[in-house]
Amino acid sequence: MLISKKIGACIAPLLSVSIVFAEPPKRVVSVNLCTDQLAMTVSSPEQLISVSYLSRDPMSSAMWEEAQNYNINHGQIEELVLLEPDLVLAHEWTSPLLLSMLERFDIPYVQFSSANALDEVSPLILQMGAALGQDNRAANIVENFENRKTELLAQVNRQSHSPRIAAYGPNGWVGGATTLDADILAKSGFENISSEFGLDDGGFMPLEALVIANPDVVLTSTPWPKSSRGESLLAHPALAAVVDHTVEQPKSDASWDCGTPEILTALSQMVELSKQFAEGHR
Amino acid sequence: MRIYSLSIGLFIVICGLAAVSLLIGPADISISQALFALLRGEGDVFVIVMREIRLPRVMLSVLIGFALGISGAAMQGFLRNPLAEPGVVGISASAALGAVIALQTGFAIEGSQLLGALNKGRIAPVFALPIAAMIGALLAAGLILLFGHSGKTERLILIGIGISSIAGAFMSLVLNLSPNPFAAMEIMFWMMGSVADRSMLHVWMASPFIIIGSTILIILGRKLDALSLGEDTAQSLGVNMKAMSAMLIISIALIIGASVAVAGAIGFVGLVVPHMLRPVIGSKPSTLLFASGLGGAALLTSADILTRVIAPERDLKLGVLTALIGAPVFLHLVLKSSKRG
Repeated sequence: MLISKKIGACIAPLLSVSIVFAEPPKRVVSVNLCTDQLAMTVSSPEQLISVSYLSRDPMSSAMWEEAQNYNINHGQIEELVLLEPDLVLAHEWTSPLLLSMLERFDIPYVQFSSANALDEVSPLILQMGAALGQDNRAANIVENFENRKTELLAQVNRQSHSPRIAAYGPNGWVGGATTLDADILAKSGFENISSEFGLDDGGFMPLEALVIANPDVVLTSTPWPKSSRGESLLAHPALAAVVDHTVEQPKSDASWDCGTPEILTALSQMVELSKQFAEGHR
Repeated sequence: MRIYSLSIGLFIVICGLAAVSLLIGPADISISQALFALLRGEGDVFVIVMREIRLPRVMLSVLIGFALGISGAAMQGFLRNPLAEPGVVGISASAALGAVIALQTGFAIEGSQLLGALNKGRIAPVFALPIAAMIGALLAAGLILLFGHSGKTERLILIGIGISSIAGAFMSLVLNLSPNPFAAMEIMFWMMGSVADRSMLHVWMASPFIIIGSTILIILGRKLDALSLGEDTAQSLGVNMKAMSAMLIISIALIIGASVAVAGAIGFVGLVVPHMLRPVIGSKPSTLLFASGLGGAALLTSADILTRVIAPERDLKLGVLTALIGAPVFLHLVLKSSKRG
């Protein structure tokens, strides 16, 4: 409880922007995959009337099973108007056109930012709690989340030589240092090779640069249905030859993409791998 | 005699360009490290870079350049039309549509699925992608050679624009409807082409078809010579036009289907190269075919080197450069032929 109070105090200025209701909203619609999952975690069952269609997709959403209980929307203004929401949950990346249409129809909305670090998850949960009038419920979730996170991070055994990791996505995309992915890797005790290549802001790393860098772990992605050339790069024989003496670890977009309590699945996966290196099993 | 010296000259140029192409890349590898890794297998990660990444890239640029050059010369000879070329007339776009449909319906597989199939000893899936692209190319080549065979130069180009537009629209539709978010972003690759990050598997996927198709075209060379004197004269010299058309359509489909399946649709190479070579060796199709293949290989390998010199950290598409060279030539030829018409 102490932890959540501290975080609550830190984000008080942020919350003052979001709190616009005297009483909790009763017809809440979410139009973004990440706000969907935060809302499903924090809201009371009858409060949330629709989530985005992506939240039902097992490839994208860690809460796809729970999302089957909600109506879905495609983030189109016509749908939203007909749902008669008293609050729309949007993301910082939600189309400005949609937001301006919401303003024209006098539909209130709250925007949430992305979590770019593990420490940014709890403030988002609390912001969602405040927007939905579910502060106590959000505070409880944050407390459990922080306890579990602390427990996981305590298992990380820092070594003199941290295992070097490359998070290598389709088309050779490497995320930057200021992303949630990078924070999870760093906190689990890995040294991210993206900084060796000056890719602190993210970028494309040519396959041959990755081969020369020779990391201990290559974190790839789970393939989507059907083929794409971008993903076929991850099955290139050159990568397979590197992986012969490294560890290939596929990551699922569903557990990694959003700053929700589900991010602990990703953290625990990486902490487990880090422990294996520390114990000399890898 | 001139054709022999030109061929030897072009062969030396291709070898030089291939060597340069092997030495260029984002990884910092010295010439000696590159040579030891490539030839003697020394140097662990350098061997992987040289043999698994750079070598297939160079082999594909030479192979596909040859394929595009020879098919352009064959089409120009057969249609007796200076603007005929697989890209301009929509055969490449149709091949790309065939490949995209095959990948998105699951008829053809790539990446980890394909490796999984190969590990189980299944070879057939390797050829599903080029075969699908060949079917697309065959349909377009059939239409072009049947309807664009007689009449004015412009008629052929207009039919080509129609075929390209239809193929492009369907390709966008199929990619947009794909459940794979990365596939939807790959229209650039299919429209513009690239040989970056391909593997030896892609070389084996395409080379048998390109070699068979090119051999048939070279054998047809003499008949194309006879055709340049006019259809009636060719027939009086014993050329069976129907059989020849069928052989030509099949070989172009084999060559372009296989090329597009692994490297996307790269335009204008087949248009530009025969025009560059005609002033040197004349316009006799039998001599022009092989030389255009070599010229195409040299042009595409140079273009691939340039993509890495201009934008080393980006995957600049090959078709962007070939279009920059080829489109002005195309425009010049269109203006010239319309003045004559």
